[in-house]
Amino acid sequence: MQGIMILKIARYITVVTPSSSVTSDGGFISGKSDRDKQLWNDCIHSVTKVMEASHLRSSSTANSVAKNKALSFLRQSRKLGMHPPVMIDQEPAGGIIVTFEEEDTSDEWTFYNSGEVEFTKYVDNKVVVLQNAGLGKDGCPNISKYTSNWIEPISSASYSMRPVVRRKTESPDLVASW
Amino acid sequence: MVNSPSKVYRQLILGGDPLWYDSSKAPPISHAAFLPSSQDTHGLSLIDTSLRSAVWAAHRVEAPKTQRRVAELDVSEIERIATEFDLSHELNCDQDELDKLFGEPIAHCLATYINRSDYDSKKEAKRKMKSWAKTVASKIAYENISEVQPLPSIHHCYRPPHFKFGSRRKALLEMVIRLKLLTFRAIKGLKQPFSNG
Repeated sequence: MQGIMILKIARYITVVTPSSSVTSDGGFISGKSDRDKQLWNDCIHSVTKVMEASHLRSSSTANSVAKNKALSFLRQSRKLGMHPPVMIDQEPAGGIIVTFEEEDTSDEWTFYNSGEVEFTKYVDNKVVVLQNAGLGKDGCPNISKYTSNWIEPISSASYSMRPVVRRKTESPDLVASW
Repeated sequence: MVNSPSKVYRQLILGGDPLWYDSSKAPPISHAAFLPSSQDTHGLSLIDTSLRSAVWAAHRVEAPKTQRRVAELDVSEIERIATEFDLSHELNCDQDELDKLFGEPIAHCLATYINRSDYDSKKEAKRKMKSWAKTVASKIAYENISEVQPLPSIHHCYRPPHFKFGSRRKALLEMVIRLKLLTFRAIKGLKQPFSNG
């Protein structure tokens, strides 16, 4: 009997406790797996290494303007709980391209050396949206305006910044078993 | 001048590898390799596979120490994709530095419909070019991407192994023979009046 009760409590905790958490710098990370965290770390690290690699590999590459904008964008995207990108590449005329993918759709952010940021949405490899992304005060584009690449919907009421804690008696299941 | 190769090489920037990609997935072929660079103002640089070997196709006189990969593209396929996105599809012969060194036939050509000038100035053209590049990258097979090519040396043939000198040599031989014949006739013609007189 006690065993069953422990199991039920465990199930209850799993159901009502959200996987979201608050990062030390106030960022909201929702449902991130260790793999996602690793991917985020790796891709951010790759951008920081662009400048080192640039003189070794090619003449056309990203400058510090593009690099810094791409970096702050990636950090903001991570904070907002987006899936990590699938690819980061260099724009052939100078800049950085960050690509997110979901089945047949891919969202592409291009950070040009001139400081311009461009958003491109592809569906089945065809461009359906192509526009300059306006930048906010922090120098980052308003990501939520353009993308749907969230791990979980950020606007949902159930995703409060605090983990939901309910009293045991709230569960009808548990009340019945008492 | 319009060229009509059946297959072409495209040099892949940065060895063809993206800066970073999710390694749990198959390594992607970045569409950035098929977008025009700042040097491609008049068209995307392509190289006729029947006229230049892969080692030399990956080489640039301007950057002789950079090793690159090349992607082999089927011309009919890239033209079909261009038509799909309302792009004209014309390959123009355009002599590059290696063509100047090695002479005719010219291997370097330009896909004029993918050029940086329009890419930067016309939004609709950019939209089409991006769609084209993304589709080309998605269709390309891995076996059509070469290994990183070595820097060419005297041991690497400039022309591919299947390149046939036959017809060209034959034409040259014919020309030489004709010249000899003409000279012979001319000399004979000159001698005849003297002998007659």
